[in-house]
Amino acid sequence: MSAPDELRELLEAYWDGSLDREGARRLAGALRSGEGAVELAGEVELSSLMHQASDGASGEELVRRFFAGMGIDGALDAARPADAPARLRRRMVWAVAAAAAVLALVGALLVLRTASPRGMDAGVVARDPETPAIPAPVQAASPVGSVLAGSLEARPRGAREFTAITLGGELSAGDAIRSGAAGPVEIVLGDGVRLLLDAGTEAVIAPDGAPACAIELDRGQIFADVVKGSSFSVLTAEGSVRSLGTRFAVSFSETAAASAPGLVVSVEEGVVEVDAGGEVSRVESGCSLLAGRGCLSRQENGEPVRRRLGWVDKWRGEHPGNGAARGRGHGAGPRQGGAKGRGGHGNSGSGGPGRKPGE
Amino acid sequence: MTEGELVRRAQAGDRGAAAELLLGHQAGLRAYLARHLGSVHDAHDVLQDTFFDALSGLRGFDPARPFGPWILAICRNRLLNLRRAGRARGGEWLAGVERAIEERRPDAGAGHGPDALRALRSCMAELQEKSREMVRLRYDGGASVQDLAARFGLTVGGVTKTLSRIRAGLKDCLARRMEAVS
Repeated sequence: MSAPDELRELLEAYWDGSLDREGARRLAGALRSGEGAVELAGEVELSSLMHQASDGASGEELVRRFFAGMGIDGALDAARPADAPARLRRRMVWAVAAAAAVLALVGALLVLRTASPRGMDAGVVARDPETPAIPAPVQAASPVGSVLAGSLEARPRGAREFTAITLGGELSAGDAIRSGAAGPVEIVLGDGVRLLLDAGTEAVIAPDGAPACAIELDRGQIFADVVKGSSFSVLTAEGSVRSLGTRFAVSFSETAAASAPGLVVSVEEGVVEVDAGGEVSRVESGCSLLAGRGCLSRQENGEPVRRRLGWVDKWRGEHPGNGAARGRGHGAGPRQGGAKGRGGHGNSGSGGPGRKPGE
Repeated sequence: MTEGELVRRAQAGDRGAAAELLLGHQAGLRAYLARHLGSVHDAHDVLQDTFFDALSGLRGFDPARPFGPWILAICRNRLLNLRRAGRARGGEWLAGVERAIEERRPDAGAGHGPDALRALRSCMAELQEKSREMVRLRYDGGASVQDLAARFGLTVGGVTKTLSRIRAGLKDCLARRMEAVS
């Protein structure tokens, strides 16, 4: 092997994160002063450019996604008033510094997570007095799940409006749900499925024709923790994912850039089955499947290295030892914290516990 | 408005100013991350964590200082954390390579211009199917060289050479396109 070839291998290993100490020493030395240093630096630059050219997300999209994840809407509108004059009218100054807003959001999530149902009734879930009561024409359906942490909005099958569901609020088959911008929300379905929905996720619980323990993921990303012996399916427009006792993440976007996959499945533990247009694949721990592009896996010292799920890790950091995204060995039953204070579908006009009229 | 004024406004709670600050530096941060990470997904994660840390610590930042090096230092720390989280070893010696790469790029914060990105995307679209697939898996999907070797039936050395050959072709194509633009 010629020296440049060997150095290129070291460079690729660096990008893979698999470079050993000796390789790193040699690569760093070559980059600084060795033979072919200029050529090697050129490879780094072109590779960097290719990396960015392959990245379908725009800078604005990434910044917008960040603020949405922090529960702060309209930051970019405020930054670009000339581009959106109508939005300028909505511009407002933060009441507190951005850091305080972030901390307040985290604090609010912690409060939602730990507050008693009575506490929730008393304040956090109070109905907006300016919002007209919504008629309740919808037939109540049997609950199939409930909210364990955070809050989301749900629209029962046949209803026109979304209503807010908070800690302990019930979810029924056919409910369309959306997590909004206020960060991840944790729900439980059936007897053994905990789900973490990232901000901006939209889904339907047990849609028509689907198994009872299934959701249709319309956009966004979820992390599922399915206890052994339970079955759970995620349906998307690009394919379905079936799990029998595992932990995995699914993200889906119908509007993904041409260079980006719409459906991405990452398995943290166990095995899932992905059916993408009739092509069935088994995706194992440490592997990420990009629909239409096959299974990507990373190994180090013979052990699979899972794709990092930053939003799940962040949730874990904020909710140690509990939740759908907890590590194995923490937490116990699937219904922890979710059995009380739930509201029904038939009384949305009353703003009953756990549910309040939405927009 | 100067960057220092933007910082002061952001510190006072102006979310538009905070967004403008992050927008102004995201391209440079993404370029930096692209030099050091093989996966777009990892780069996005590190970028989001960097934004979070920057806003969380903004009140303690001196507006008289340049914002770019400060947020780049945050980004570098986050990259190091990612490496530490991914493996129990390697953070220190990978940091040595990182420094060597940055020494080759004194203007590391600049990012790449839109013309170059457009031209390169156009060149990448003209690659043969197999090459295009390999590039897509490597740069967008974060596939390791070993993944690619298994998928394309090549050795690790074969994948490295193929990627290098593809990059050489793209470099020529890019040079031609950029010359035409100028």
